[in-house]
Amino acid sequence: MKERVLTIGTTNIVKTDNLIKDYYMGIFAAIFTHDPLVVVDQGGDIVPYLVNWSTKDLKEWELKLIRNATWHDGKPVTAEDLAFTITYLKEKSPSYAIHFQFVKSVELKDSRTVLVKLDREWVSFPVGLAATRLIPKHVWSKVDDPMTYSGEDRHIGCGPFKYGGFDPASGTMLFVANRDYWRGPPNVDKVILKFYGSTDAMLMALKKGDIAVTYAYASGVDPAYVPSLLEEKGISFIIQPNFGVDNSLWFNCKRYPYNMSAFRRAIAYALDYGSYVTFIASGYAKVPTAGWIPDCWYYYVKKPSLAKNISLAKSMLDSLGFIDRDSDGWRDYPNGSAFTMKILVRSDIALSARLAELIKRDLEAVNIRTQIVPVDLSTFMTIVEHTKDFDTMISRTTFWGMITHAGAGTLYFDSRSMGWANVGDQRYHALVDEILRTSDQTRIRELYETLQDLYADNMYAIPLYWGKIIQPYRSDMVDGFVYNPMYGILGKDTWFSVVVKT
Amino acid sequence: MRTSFIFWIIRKALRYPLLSFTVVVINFLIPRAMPGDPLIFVFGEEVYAIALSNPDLTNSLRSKYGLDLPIIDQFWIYLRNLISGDLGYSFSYGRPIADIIRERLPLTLIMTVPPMILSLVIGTILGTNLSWKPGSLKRIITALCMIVRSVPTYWSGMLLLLIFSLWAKWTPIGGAPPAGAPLSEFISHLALPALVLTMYNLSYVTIIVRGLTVEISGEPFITTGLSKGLNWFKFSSRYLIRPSLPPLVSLAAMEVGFAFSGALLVEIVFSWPGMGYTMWQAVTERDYPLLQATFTITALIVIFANALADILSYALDPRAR
Repeated sequence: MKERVLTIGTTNIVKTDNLIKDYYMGIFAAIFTHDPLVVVDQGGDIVPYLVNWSTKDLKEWELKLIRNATWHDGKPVTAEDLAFTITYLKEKSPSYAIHFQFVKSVELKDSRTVLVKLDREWVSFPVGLAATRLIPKHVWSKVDDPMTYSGEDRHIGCGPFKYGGFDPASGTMLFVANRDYWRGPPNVDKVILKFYGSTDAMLMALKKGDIAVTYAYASGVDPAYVPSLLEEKGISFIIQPNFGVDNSLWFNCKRYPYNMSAFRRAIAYALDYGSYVTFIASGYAKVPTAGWIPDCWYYYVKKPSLAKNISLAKSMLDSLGFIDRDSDGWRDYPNGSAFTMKILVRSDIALSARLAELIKRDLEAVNIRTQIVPVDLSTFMTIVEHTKDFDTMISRTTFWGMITHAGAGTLYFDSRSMGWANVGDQRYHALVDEILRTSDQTRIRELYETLQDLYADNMYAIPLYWGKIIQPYRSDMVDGFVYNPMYGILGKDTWFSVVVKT
Repeated sequence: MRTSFIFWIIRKALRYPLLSFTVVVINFLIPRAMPGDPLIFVFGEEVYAIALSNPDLTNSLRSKYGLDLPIIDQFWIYLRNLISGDLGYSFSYGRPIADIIRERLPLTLIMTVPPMILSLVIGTILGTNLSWKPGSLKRIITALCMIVRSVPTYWSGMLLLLIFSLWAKWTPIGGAPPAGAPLSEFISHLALPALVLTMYNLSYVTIIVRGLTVEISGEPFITTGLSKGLNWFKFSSRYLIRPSLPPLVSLAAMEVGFAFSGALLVEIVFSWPGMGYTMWQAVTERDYPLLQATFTITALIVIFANALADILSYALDPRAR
């Protein structure tokens, strides 16, 4: 029988093949070589995978191994590995130290059960488990610094593929099927991952047939590429709703005048959402509602769609005292000084720059002088997440970000967490704290509904459009992908349904 | 002549270490003057902001990477390590930088040196020809050179990928050849990036050489050369190219600088993991040690090339003495 080989192109470049050190290697390890403890299902819910969990008080969590998995070297996966993974990663990996920051102790209850004690109630503990790749104790217990470990056994996992090698020069990484995987052997014998320096080159490779599918973690391709791909025979698309908010205009809610909800609402009335759907998302999107949360979430509450109303925007700005006092055509602060609204954007994302230009056009139509400030990723993150020295900025959210902290995007709003919007409102904080303490799903849903009321009333961030994930692939080479909100088309279920056409 | 040459060498020998030290200092200061936090890529984009709420953890990492030390202490450590040949440890790769450079530098040299040599040789011959008795074809070639030089390399790279990789299917879309690849595969990977760099450099050398030879075409020694009735090869090599050699040598030294900096975009377009690509990643991720090392090595190579050019110019041009 001919070998079934799937070649995947990606711009998520791995620099070093150490799953604990390298961000993208961690992602690919979770997809191919290592199983996470729990996974996200197609509806966006966290469900058991290697382990099931239970908790009575959100402080003590019992994790039970529910599969007869084995490591790639043939040894069985045990509860000792599970306990070791949590304690070791918390101690040795900076990112896991954050996932497990409230873990007080990990106790082995029996050969298949572990008890994790937290030092506070934490409803989002399973979110950290979804990001955790189970690692073997017999390999890593002898490693003091996992960030620099280069032993051959560092790739041993219990996932559906075994690691086959990395050639940084040619930009390829190989994975071979694990015939002893607990769900049975995957439908593909080999996966070749090819790294590309640019999306243009990657999509050319797709058109040429060098790769069967493209992959980008937590996103698809920029809709601007779709028309040229549609002209190609053999290329099909998987189009899925985006559980993240494709792009929002985020206000720094602790800075005047963006700390006034009336001002933020006035800005919301100035924007032409239809043009963002047409020109930025190429029609693969819909006009959002004021509730910010996309309509694919189970707790979504229908709110009025956002709509442009220039006269209302102008009258609201007038009533706030933002009028043109020196007759230069631009609105000034109530004290008479010149007002300029600055929009921070990432220079490495062309789509963000295009979107900023359209927003500038809309704001200038209501006489707000607007300045776009493009910066690179590192500067952007330092400003937005550390110094908080910005007026407004454009950014998307990911599925993982939506479910982290108290869920429903709270990570992005709460000033005590990542808090892009820098929301320090007592009512908002009290609501988030209640969600974190609540285990009853019906109550959590009610609280999420209240949260959407707050989003709509206060406009901490304006959703610009609710986009779709556009995933191109060569249907003449491969088919049968199962879409997953966290890992896209490369979720675990794909490996048991995918069909490589020879 | 010998005494003056020795004095000249001593003067230069004093100047270049000073220049190298300045480069080392600048390469240390510039990355640290840039906004951005190296820890972003240590934690990962999605975790960084949450990590900021845990000062113990961030402080211990800053301490681990030496980022908490006073800037002057960081500089002395960097200088001491550099002198002892230790380039340090990359934050983002989690590997010794010497290993990374050992992998990447040959890839850049393979991609940039042949185009550099080709463009210097062909550009000199072509430029000399274009300067002499210009006709309509020569004017077209000159205009073409101007156009090629004006087109950014990432654009011409994409165009060539479209034509030769996507439509003609003659070459791969990108990436360097895998280790141990046969010669034919090696050439197919190298062909397009090398072609882009050759075209870009060639157009420049041609325009410069044409300008240099036009400048001297009215000189009396040219008339002397013509009166000897030499064939074109002998005439052009003795009377047109030879006087142009000193500035050409300086041009070649400048091309060495371009070989690293200008090849950056070509490396990105062709997914070629060379020095330029590594520099770009280091800048993006604020990987200070890697940034310092790649910039310093590149700068030292350019300084060395310029020193060599100075010596050659001295030997070739009596006026320089």
